[in-house]
Amino acid sequence: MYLQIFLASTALACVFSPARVLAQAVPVAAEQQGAVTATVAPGAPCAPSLVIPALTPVTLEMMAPLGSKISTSGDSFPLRLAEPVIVDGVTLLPAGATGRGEVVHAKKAGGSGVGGELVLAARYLDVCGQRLRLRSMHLSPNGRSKTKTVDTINMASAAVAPPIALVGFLIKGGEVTVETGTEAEARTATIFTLASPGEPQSQ
Amino acid sequence: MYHKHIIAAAVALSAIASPAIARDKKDAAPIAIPAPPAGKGQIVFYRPGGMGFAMGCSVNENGQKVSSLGAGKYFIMVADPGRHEFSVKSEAKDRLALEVEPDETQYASCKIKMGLMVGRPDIRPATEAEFRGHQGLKMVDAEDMGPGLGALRPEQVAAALGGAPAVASAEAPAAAQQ
Repeated sequence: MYLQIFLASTALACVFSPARVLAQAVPVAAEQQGAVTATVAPGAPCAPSLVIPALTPVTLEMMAPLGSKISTSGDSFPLRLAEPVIVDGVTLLPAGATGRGEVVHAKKAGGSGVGGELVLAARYLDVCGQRLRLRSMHLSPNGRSKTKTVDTINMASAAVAPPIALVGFLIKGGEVTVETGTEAEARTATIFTLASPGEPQSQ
Repeated sequence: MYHKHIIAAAVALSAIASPAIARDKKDAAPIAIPAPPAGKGQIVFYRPGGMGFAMGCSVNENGQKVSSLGAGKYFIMVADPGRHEFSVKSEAKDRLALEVEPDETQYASCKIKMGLMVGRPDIRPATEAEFRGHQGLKMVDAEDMGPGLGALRPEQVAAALGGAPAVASAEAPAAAQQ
């Protein structure tokens, strides 16, 4: 009797289990399919339908210290996507993609109160093995200028003792520094689509 | 006695005239900067007054003069997108590189700093707010501009303003780049 009950329950389990497994699998597949057509889930950003419009705002984070004293024009520096790229409520790209920027101009602070200068540009992010080109990162801070102080000393010393004006050469302006982790806004330069294998990139 | 009358008249005149002059300065219309042509960028170079007002600050690119920049003057240069390097020179040379972005306006200032024999020009990046903070800037005269197409002539600026809205913000791209 026990043997019959055991056999019957085993047979029932064999019949219903695949159905249950199937029932669990269907929503997952549907979700994944939905993710492909409507949104890109974090961690799976390389769906073939991924399209990022041109001029989409992106928030970038500098991944190395930069400054008028330590950087040189032409230097390349690492950066990363600090916040996900969301367009119309759809997450197109999760935060974390890495890329490169360029020091367009760097000048150390100098005598006569001249402050340091730094002009930075975002170049690209690596997205799914392709380069998402960037533009319009307005991060060009200037160091504190003390030229007004020097001018005041010059004006005052001209009337009293002109040699005192030479002190102005020794007054240095402030350097400018951009710490690691500094965030800046930029934009995508062109429309970005994922090229199929063998196809040229759309950038 | 005669001198007292003259002084009194001068004081009275200045008292009457000064508020009017001050009001004129305060009410001066903000400088209208046209949007750059589609696909191009532009840089507004300006030079506030201050030390070395008698010296010019000649802005050059690739060895060619773009424009001179006297004290209290500005000019607009239309440029292709990309990196541009400018230089200014007197007894010392200074350089500035900028990344020109399509459909955007950037700003750069030139100041004359203290030099050994003559003042030294110092060119540096600036912001629209800094540019707008200097009252009474005037456009460079056409004859002080370089022979090339770099600096916009006054009539070109007027034409551009007639056909396109003035730039409201330096950091707002006007059109999408596809």
